[in-house]
Amino acid sequence: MVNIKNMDFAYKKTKLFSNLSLELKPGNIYGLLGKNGAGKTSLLKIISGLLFPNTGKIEVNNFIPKQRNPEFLQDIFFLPEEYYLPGLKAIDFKKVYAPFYTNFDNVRFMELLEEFKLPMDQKLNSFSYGQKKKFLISFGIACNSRIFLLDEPTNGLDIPSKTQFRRIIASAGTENRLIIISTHQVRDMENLIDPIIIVDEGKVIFNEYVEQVTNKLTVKKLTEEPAKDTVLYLEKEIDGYKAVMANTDQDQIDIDFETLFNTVISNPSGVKSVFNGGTNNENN
Amino acid sequence: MKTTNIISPLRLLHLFKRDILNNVNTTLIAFGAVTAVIYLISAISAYTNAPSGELYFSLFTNLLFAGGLIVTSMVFKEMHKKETAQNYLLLPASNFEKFFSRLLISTIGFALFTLIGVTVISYLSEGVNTLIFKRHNEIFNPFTKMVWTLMAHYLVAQSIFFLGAVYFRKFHFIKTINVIFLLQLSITIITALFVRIVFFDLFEGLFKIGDTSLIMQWDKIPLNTSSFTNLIKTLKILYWLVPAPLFWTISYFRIKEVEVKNAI
Repeated sequence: MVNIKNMDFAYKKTKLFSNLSLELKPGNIYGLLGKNGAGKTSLLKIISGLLFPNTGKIEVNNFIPKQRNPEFLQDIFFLPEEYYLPGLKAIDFKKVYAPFYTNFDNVRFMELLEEFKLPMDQKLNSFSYGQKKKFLISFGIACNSRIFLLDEPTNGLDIPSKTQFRRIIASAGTENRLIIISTHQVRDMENLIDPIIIVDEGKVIFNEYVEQVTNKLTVKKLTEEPAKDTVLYLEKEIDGYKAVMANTDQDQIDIDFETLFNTVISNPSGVKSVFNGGTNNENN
Repeated sequence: MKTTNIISPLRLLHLFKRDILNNVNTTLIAFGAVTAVIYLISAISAYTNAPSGELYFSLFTNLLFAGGLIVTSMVFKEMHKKETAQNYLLLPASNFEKFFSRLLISTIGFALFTLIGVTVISYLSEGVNTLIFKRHNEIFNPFTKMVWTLMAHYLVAQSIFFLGAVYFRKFHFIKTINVIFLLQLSITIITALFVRIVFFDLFEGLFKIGDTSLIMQWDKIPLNTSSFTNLIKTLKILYWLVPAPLFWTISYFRIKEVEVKNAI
């Protein structure tokens, strides 16, 4: 569905991606994680045809995003972190924009607006930030596009809305749909995103299903500081240490995304070695 | 590539609908203001007992060129603004449809809107003037050759500002005017230098020609010769056929290359 091969991308002289390759398949809700400036948003923009790669090949739904073909555009919906909504009422917005999406589901749209408790008779530019985001999530899901890209979707949402968001996105994740969520708010995405992609310094350094993570890594609470070469990642806590290590004992302990992210970022080669079949905590 | 991916009448219609609905308030305010100004001018003209036959023609000319070129300059604002660029570029319509819809709006759309608007306003204003002042200015006649020639000239000028609207990310109108001015200035300077260098022995001082018989005198140019007439004909054909299609085509290719990182 999304196929990127040996892609280079730079902003003027600042190189962002170098020889990046990535294959994303439908039926998944990918979590795209990375530090600030790692290129998460840029990657989503490249996939949607808003930015053009310098070299390499990119295919999305068998289209070249750069061409911004209408058939391609109606099958992709991108919810950016910052967005603009015109001074139209929700119902008028639907009348103007829905006809561009041939699979638009009017009933679903109305259901979602109701679920998010969004007023239909109020102008969209008078909505709060969170309301605007909920409106666009509703519209995006109703578009029934096969690719749904969300950039920091839970920013600005209140706690009940975050729960609603998780439920709605989980229900929207069908087998022919690919959802990519780029986020810093990893705690909001627990039990939603799978697989997890981590980008760092212009490369994809991690791309694994949660099940694989549970099989390969384990997290342990230790009262004493372990030897550094026995762990992949060590975090000091009030009552001891949290250590991430290779799951040699076949434990079935879920590792939280924040700890996983920190582990991968601080010790990418060690994690890679474990996922490639090794057990040593290399390059620590 | 399928034809429906280049142009679909239905999608084009949706684009027009979207543009109209998104700009309806601004358009109505501008139209109201222009109507008020036109009526004020026509009322003053009728009141001062100097009814004018050319009033509406000159108003139409100013509105078409000043208004039309400013509107044209802003026609791609949405594509260049950081807040709106993404929305616009991801709208499921082809690059050609996005180009063509804005081209139609700023050419035929604006010209016909102005033509009909000025005609209707002239009838209404002069009706009111007749009732109040018992006299009126000449009604605007949209069916004269001059009006339609003017509209054709507008299309040529529009094409330059259309390219400016696509190319420049900010201050499109001013920047286009500046480029035209700079181009004109450059051509003048290059021509002057060329003449000065090639015909250096005819000059006395920096730019003074010594032999006054060499200075071009229009009345001595053989305007009636067939070669001169042919030259003028060729230049006219070039004027009508080259700039507009050329600038529109360049604009289209430029739109295809726009990325969201260009937005400011």
